[in-house]
Amino acid sequence: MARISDVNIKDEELYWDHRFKRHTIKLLPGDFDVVNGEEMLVTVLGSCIAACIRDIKNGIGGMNHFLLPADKKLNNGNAHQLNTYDSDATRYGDLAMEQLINNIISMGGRRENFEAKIFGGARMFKATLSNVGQQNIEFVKDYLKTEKIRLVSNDTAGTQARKVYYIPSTGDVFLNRITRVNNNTIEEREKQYLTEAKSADTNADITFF
Amino acid sequence: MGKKVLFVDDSASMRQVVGIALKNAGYEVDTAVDGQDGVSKLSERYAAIISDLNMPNMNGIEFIKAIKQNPNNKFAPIIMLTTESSDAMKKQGQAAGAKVWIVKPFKPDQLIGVLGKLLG
Repeated sequence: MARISDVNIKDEELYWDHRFKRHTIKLLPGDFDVVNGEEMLVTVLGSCIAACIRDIKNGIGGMNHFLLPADKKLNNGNAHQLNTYDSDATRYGDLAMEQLINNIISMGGRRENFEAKIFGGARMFKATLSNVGQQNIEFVKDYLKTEKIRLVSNDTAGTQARKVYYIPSTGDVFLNRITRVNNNTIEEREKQYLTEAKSADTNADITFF
Repeated sequence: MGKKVLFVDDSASMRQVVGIALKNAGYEVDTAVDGQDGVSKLSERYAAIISDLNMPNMNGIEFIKAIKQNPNNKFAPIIMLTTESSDAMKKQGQAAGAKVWIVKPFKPDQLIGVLGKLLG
């Protein structure tokens, strides 16, 4: 019987995967989850990025799923330069990465044992989301470099959506390329997520005691 | 000479972006990578101290308590800058002695504005 994480996972995210014979947690855009058991994390990526990070010594790790909005201020390869933190794009990315890393650390992972795998950033949509994928890839690579987290595997860019399965306890990844998309669910979901993220960001939460 | 502030965060990219924003606003900045490292800087006297909450070795709450024990800095206003937004954690921070709680994501201008209010 697989070891189950002692973390709170929402019921609607959790299912039993018959193919892999594992408890599996499904992530949508904007989500992240960290486990200390043998569960698998799964997500579907278009332009979005999933960073998978684990402590290679104790197997505690997790995945996030985020998308930086397109930003005129960000040129390719320049996504995390110091003067661009004013852009919404970089803030979303930093938050997504920091939440994942903080949760791994608070569950007992150690930064110096981290390894990362990154996926997604496809150029799969028309016009509006077209060059967002590349910006996202540059951002996450640059972030990992700044944080000195080892990037050990990387399947990004291209024109196809991906379904990514990640098992933090072992570090294994299974990746399906989605060659035919019957509807535009992935695109719609990513757009919806962007809209929500933008509206949530207008006011910072500041408390004076 | 600008006022000197201490910024403590285990994320190198946070240290970069906040460090630059503070310097651009005319502050002198020291940085530390966690609470323990922050404590080692307290021989200096700071106008304000900004700290993350979730950090290895010594977390933000323990760090605040250490600041309050430090003769040089026990009156320095403390700003918490964290992804943590729960009221329970905020209460803990307030009880330990934090003056302001800012939830990430934030805009550097907002942090500078808060500092201006505290030190102005």
